[in-house]
Amino acid sequence: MASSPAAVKELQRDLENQANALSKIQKDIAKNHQVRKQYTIQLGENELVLKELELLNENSNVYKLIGPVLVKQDLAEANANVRKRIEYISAELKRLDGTLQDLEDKQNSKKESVLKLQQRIHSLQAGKSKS
Amino acid sequence: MGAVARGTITSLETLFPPVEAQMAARRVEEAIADRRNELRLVQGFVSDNSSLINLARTLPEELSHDVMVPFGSAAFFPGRLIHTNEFLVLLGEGYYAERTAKQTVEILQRRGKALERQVESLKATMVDLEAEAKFFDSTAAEAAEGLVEIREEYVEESEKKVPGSDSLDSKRDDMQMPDEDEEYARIMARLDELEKEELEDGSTSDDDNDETVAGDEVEDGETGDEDEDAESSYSFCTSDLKHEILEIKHKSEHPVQKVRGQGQEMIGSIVSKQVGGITEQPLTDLPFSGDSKMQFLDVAHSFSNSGQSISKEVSRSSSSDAKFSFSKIEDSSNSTSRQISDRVSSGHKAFTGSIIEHDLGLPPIQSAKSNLGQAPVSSSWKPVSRFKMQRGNR
Repeated sequence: MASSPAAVKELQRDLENQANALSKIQKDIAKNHQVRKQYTIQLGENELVLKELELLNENSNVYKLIGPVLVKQDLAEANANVRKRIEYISAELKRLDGTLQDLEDKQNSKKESVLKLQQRIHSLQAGKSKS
Repeated sequence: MGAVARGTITSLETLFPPVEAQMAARRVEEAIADRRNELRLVQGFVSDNSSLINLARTLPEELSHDVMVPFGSAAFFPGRLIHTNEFLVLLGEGYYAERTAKQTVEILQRRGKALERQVESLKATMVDLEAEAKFFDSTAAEAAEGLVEIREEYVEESEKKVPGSDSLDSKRDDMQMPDEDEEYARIMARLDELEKEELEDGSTSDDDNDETVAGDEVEDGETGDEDEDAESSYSFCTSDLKHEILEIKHKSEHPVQKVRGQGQEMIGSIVSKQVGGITEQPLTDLPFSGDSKMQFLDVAHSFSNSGQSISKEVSRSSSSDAKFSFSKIEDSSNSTSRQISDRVSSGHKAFTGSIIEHDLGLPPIQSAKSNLGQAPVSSSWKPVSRFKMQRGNR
């Protein structure tokens, strides 16, 4: 029983490390959610733009605001640009989904290990109090 | 006392501590508040949009408007708005389009619709969240009141029945399997019969041709060649068909064992129904016409045609479909097969006899299997050898 206090200390240090890692992962997940929300909004806006662009006539003028100036753009070019942007955003969203899945898996495993550690500490302490 | 052994009683308070339940309720309330703010924002957009639509409608009514032009944030100076029918509409993402007032109004109306949709979805989520909050609240109240949860193992009466129904299921499957085997064997037998018939008829029709053509030897030879070609191709196609059927047979067996879906059972019932329908037909009732040979020829040809179509159909269709088409084929060709099987000379009795017995006596697995055993073997050697025989005869 002489080794038990040292073991408990060791376990507690381990637990702290694990908990820190877990909170880090949770922060990452929150960040991921934020970014994803932004991208989703942009995707919606782009889709609106694309719809409107498709409704425009061939000879109507389209401008793009670049910094402080409006630059005239070809309608087809604008269309292609928006399409490309939608593609990019979709790809980005998919990527974010993948990373989110990854992070959640990690989070679950970390949670489990934390729980295990807590249980071990509990049992050790119970054994100590009995003896 | 048995009740105590069966069930467990836990107070709701231990399961959902009231504090936690209240916390959950509060969190949901917060979510609802967020949604409400969002909804207010969106509704502000909606009203802005509608006022903008009004403005865009009224602006082109005059050629020019006297307005106060904002100059910086502090000053205004008087000015005039001209070109009142030309709008530069922001589409989003920094894209602008030159539009007339009417077109602008259209764009704005589309935007308004999108906003309406957003409002609707927000309201729906709010209703959901409110229900959730109510649930949490009631749970918290119940837990505070000291309600208990009684949990008892649900021993189902029907659980005893489950194995029974299972065995019934398996029985049905067993029934289905022989049915299929039988069907398969019958098809094989019919193919063999038809082949034989056709070969015989082919020779007789050759004779007929000889008679009709009479003297002309060159033509006679040609027709003979043609016939031979046709026959060889036919035997080839039938063997091919057999092969395919065999393959499909193998395919279709596996899903039956694996899947016990309703579809399978339905197919099984269909098959068995058709088989039943067949058995009901009295064998002695069959109409026999006098000129059997010609009839056989017709039947054989029609069957070879249908056989080709079958092979196409079969190769296309998936396992369950295949079964169905099998039964269909069987059904369509059954009356003819009956005629033939009764008319067949004594040489083929081994086959026909067994088939008719199966029709009547249903599912003896062994006989079906033995039939199955015979059929593929015969299919493997018969076409070729008979073709050779034919050649030898010629």
